[in-house]
Amino acid sequence: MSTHRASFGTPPISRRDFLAAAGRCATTSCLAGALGPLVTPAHGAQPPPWVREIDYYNQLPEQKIQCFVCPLHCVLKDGETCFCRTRTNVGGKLFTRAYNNPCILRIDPVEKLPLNHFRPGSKTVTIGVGGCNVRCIYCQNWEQSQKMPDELKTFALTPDDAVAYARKQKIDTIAFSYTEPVAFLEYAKDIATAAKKARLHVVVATAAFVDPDPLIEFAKYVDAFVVSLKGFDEDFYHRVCGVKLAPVLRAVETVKKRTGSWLELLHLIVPTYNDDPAKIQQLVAWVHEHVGDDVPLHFARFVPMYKLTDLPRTPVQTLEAACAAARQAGLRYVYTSNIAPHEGNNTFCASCRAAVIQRLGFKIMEDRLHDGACAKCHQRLPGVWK
Amino acid sequence: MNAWRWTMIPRAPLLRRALFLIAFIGLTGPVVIRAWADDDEDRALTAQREARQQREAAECRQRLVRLDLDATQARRLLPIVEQAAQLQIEMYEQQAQFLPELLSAFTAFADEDRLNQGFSKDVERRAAQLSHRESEARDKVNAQLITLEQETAHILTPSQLDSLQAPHGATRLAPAQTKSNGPRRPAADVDRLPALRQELEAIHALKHPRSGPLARCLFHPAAIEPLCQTAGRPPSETLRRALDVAARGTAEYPLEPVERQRAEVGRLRKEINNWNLINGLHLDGRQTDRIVALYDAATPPTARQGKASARPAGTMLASLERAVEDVLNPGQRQVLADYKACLIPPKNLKDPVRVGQASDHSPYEQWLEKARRQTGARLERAIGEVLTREAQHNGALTDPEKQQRATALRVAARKAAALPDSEFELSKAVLAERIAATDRPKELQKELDAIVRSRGQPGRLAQFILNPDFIEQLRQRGEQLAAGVQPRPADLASGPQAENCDKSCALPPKKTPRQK
Repeated sequence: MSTHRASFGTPPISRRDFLAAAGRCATTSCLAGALGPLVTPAHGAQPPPWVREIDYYNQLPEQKIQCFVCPLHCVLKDGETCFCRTRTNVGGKLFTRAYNNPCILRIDPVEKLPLNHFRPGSKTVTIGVGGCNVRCIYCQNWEQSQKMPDELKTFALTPDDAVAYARKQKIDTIAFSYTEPVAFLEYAKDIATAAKKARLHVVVATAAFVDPDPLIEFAKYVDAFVVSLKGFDEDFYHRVCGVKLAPVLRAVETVKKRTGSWLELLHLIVPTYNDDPAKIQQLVAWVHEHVGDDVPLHFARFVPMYKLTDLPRTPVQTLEAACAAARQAGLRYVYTSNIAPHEGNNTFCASCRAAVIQRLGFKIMEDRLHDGACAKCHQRLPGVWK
Repeated sequence: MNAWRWTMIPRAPLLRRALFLIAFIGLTGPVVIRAWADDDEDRALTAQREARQQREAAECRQRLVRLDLDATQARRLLPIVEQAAQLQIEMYEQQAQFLPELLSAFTAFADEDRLNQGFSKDVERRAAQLSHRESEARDKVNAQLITLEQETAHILTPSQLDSLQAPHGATRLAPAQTKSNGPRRPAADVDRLPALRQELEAIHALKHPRSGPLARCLFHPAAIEPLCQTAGRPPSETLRRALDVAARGTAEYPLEPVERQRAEVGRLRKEINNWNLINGLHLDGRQTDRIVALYDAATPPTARQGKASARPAGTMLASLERAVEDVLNPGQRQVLADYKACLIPPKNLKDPVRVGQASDHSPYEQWLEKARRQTGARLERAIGEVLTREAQHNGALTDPEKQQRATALRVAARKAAALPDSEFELSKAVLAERIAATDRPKELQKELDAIVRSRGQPGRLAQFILNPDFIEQLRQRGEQLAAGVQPRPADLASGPQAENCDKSCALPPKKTPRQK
């Protein structure tokens, strides 16, 4: 006598069928468990789009690779990723994970880079991709920079899309900022190439921890660089940023002397970490000697962030003292950032000291610059004004 | 025996006596002087309080006389007045209990504000929470008093109500009409000022309800006795207690210390507001010195000694305002024009958007981000929330206005939903700007300022900056700036360390959950 139990829409199943189905499930599970690691990509559930090979690397024996984009020169075994979190050795070839997948897309004033001598008042389509080859413990965008690109919410954006969007928004500058463009150099370079073809401007905010060759190649497509010079001390760079100062200084000099790009420098003053007046004097003296007195230098206020939340903000007096030291060293265009309104937000004519551009943070309040010259004394100011 | 002799003044020689007296004065002098000073302060506070109470009591009695209540009305009013008295007693006790905590939080906050290096999270959170709790409690009691006030309005006749001003809530304040963009005539401006002020007050009252003149008259302790006399009844236990609390406080919380703490909290609030503006303006040393010098030059030295009168007035103040305005740069003038006194400085002053900072989305951008993923009832709910928030800030909208606004939000949300993610990301700031509601109080304030200035009267700068307390704080800031900051030696070794490549740069393959 067969008995049927109440079923909710599912047909009854015999013991034989049940055991057969269970067996099939078990076999599939075992096979998946055993073969899974072989077929599952090693970097996460979704395989990254291996669409762009890196230009600067050497193949070593046993499928090892040495990357030559930044001075770390990471040596990678198969499957390993560079310190920047974006370049992975895939079977003896180096590919980027940071391509067509920005996590930040914004329209910003160019002053937010900060660039005060490059087409003031203009807007940029700013792009940032996850990852960074520097490990600043006070990074303000650490949620993006300290992750792999494929660990973040991203947008699908090819280089051509980026240019098309910029044109659609009637914006003629593309900027790479927020995270480190060196970490997504290949993507940035391809966008910059497309942008140049479309006669757009390209600007870059970077920590400049990069090897000279990739930098010079990239700079061919870049109109302006803002280099964040984080300190003037190897110990500071090592303990606070996890990298070295010397390659950064070399990169700054390279931009100034071997490329035609406009250059501005940014120095964020962190209380008790890099606010020693003697160090600041060394920094401004170096800038004066190696890149010249016409390079604008921005001293930015620190705000507690990431791993440095126990510090106070930089006192305004410290920023003002740094500006005074820079001017005394002969630098002609010195700014304060991250405090607004402040006299240090404004551009002054180096000749007659008139305020030629008055700003409230990134917003221009008054512009008395005519074709890059002071309206009062007609002295030309260095920069890209059109 | 010797020791006894040594301390006994009459038996000691002259020199010993003198030494003893000097030591005695040296030890006890500061204490006595401080006690005198404290005593003076207490006496001044008491005098101030008594004067204020007398003034209020006189006003209250005058209004009662004008009301000309009959015995029946007074008898009907008494139970309501009793309820109000009970509320006021409870509020006094609650405040008295709360004040020491508030005082300590504000003191810590003012100390950090003075340094202008940002706030530590705990200090900021504590001050904000306590201030919010205090204002919430006050608003709650005021809302209850308004309800009671409306009940009293039903007992009085229209002519009696007319004898006072209309009670709060009895008549709705008509919003000031926005004028066309045409040129303004001075006469119209003069007429417009009260309307502008009234609308601003009405918007403010939406957030912080305030009882009206009827409550201020009938619920004042000075009204208790005349009311009871008119009603022909002795004051109840609650009313007697209310009188007692108004005169002396409670056994647990006597009035004098509570008043002292209240005054100190008020002073700290003012000081914090001043620091917030000084910090937000980022005046440099030269500007600071110049403003102080201009103020001092406009104020006679004799007036500067007595603080209350140390403020230039009339045309002198207006011309001083113009001179000080010339010291400020356009950015600083903009900050001043937008400034709203607040315990926690507004975001644009406390935390301006930084160079290279990724997360600086406006509230409307954030709203669009969510709304583009919603449809149907959920979208309507999201729109409703925006309308409620805007009504709290800008005053209530009429039904057609509400519908128009809801349509605009709905259209923007649908447009945002139709865009691909990357295009939305680039367009959201523009879309948000299009749907952002105008800041009505700010608009009204700007119009009001423009009218006041066009009439050559002192404006916001004079209101916020040209007063003795602000100038005194500015003087302190000038000294701070001149002294500079001595940086502490760097101690890189003890703090957190950055990850580095010393051992190996390579990051291992990320493990999938199955591999783990």
